[in-house]
Amino acid sequence: MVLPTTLQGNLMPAEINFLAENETVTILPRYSMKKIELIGTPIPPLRAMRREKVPLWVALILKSQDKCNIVPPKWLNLAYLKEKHEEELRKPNQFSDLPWHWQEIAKILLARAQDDLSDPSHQLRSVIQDLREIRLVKSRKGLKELNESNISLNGLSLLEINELRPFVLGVMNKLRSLHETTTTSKEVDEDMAEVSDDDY
Amino acid sequence: MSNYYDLDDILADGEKVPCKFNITVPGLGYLQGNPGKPIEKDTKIELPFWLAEILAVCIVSDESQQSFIDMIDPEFINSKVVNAIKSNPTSVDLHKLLPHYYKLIEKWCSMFSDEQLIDNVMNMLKERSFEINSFANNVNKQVNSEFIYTLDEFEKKLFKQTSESNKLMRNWLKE
Amino acid sequence: MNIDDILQEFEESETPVTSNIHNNLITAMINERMSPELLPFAQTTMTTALTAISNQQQYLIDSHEYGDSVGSTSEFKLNTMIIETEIERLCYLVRMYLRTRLSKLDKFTIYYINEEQEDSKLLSAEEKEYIHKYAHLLTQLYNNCFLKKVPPSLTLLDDTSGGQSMITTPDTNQHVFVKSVTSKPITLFIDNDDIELKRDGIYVVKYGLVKQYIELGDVILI
Repeated sequence: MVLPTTLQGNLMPAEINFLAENETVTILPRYSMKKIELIGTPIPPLRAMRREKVPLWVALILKSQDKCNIVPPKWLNLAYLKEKHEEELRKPNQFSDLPWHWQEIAKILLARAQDDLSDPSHQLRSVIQDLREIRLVKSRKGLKELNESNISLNGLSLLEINELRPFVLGVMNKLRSLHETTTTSKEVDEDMAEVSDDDY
Repeated sequence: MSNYYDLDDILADGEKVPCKFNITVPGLGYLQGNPGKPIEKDTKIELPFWLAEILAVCIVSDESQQSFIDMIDPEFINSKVVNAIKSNPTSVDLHKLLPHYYKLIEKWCSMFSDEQLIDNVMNMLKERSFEINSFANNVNKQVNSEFIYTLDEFEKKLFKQTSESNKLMRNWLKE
Repeated sequence: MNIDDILQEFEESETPVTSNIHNNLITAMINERMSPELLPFAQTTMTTALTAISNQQQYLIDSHEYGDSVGSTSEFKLNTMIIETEIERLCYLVRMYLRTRLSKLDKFTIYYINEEQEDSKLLSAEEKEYIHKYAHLLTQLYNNCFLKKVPPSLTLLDDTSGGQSMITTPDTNQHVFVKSVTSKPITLFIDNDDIELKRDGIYVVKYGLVKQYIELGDVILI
């Protein structure tokens, strides 16, 4: 019932997928629909051929019922992603600016809304794969900088951070406990001398 | 400091370290294999760390400043090992040397502060963890797995966590 | 003031109010998940969320009755399905939040029993009941298994004398991944260094250093 300790401190990819489904996308309804009063953002009344913004999970339900078409986000096209790939190659010490949930949204739309995308899906999949690999290689190289106090990694998306997290935190915490022995050894010696006297 | 119930901590505490008795103690001969006889002053014996810790700090009586035992530098920080750590950290066989290496170094250095040793061990951890990361993320099982057998307990846990996380990602991508 | 500043201020203040329940729940859940210690119970967020969920469920029941009498159309079914999915999603977030807190309570039981007496906002009423019952069950189990056969001086479970405390305390010096969401730069002082947290930058720092900023909302755990 309680959360298993293996999940504490890190998310599973499926949970990150869930969070990604809360992002807003633009849809093109094919029929009209009444307004829906949701707890979060209320869904506005939908009229055919008039674009509206809704959360991704709503868009997927509507799409599965054939009630709408999903407008792909501005960044999900071959040209933009190829340019980002070039940017990654040009700047070996920095990550290019991609949306927080780019991998999840790309995967969902490629699987469920292929016909709405402007480019053929196999090309998109391959450029996404390339982007992912080059960013992974860069982040692994950056792991050489691990130290016991702090590091910064701007530009990574949540899924990529989550992949590295157990390793990064494990090593940094161990480095920290090793380092702390040099600062606290004097205090511990005094404490132990006092306490052991009490026992006798 | 550390978790009272942590199993790794308890196991690490059981490691034996060499100690020298500062006084003669009657009746403890069984530690040496001579039951019934006393332990003479200046005898060297291996005691588990949890016992050695307390005895090394406790003072015998209010008059003398001596403690029951003196701890001697154990094998895992002698110069041969330290040289190996400095020159080629990824080839040191920590498992054979001391399975709970990092934990014991922490305990040892919290009693006797040794900045040099800590620096060397931290560097070793950094380099070895980089290797561990590349091994854990490598799907191809043909890779030479010699290195994996030389890991200590902490590194083994790290390896397991990293490969779990990697496996989860790969499974999700395949869906 | 520059026209750009005015425009930016206007943009920032335009965040819709209605999606706040979702975002608040998500932030509370992720913060709780990533932090090594128990955070104060998000009373307002939880009450708002739970009331909203039960209102929505009531609405569903009412409209079902209406639908049965009138004859349900496919659009009606779609409507109800979307509302039900949203309820499921919110319930999932609520469950994850509570489960995370419970796992921390299980791990650091005695510590939080002591803490709760000083700071009553840390646990909700149900959690207080849970932690006392859990501690009672656990001590009963230990007693029956072995403690009653051990000399009385060694039967304490919260003994703090001696070299090591028996109470497991959460380690607030653990590292966490954080992101700064405020435009004013935050400077953290660590030993002899200081690092600056810039807006939208992602850093890994010790939890204890950023704890106050997390409470203010300037920095979020990711």
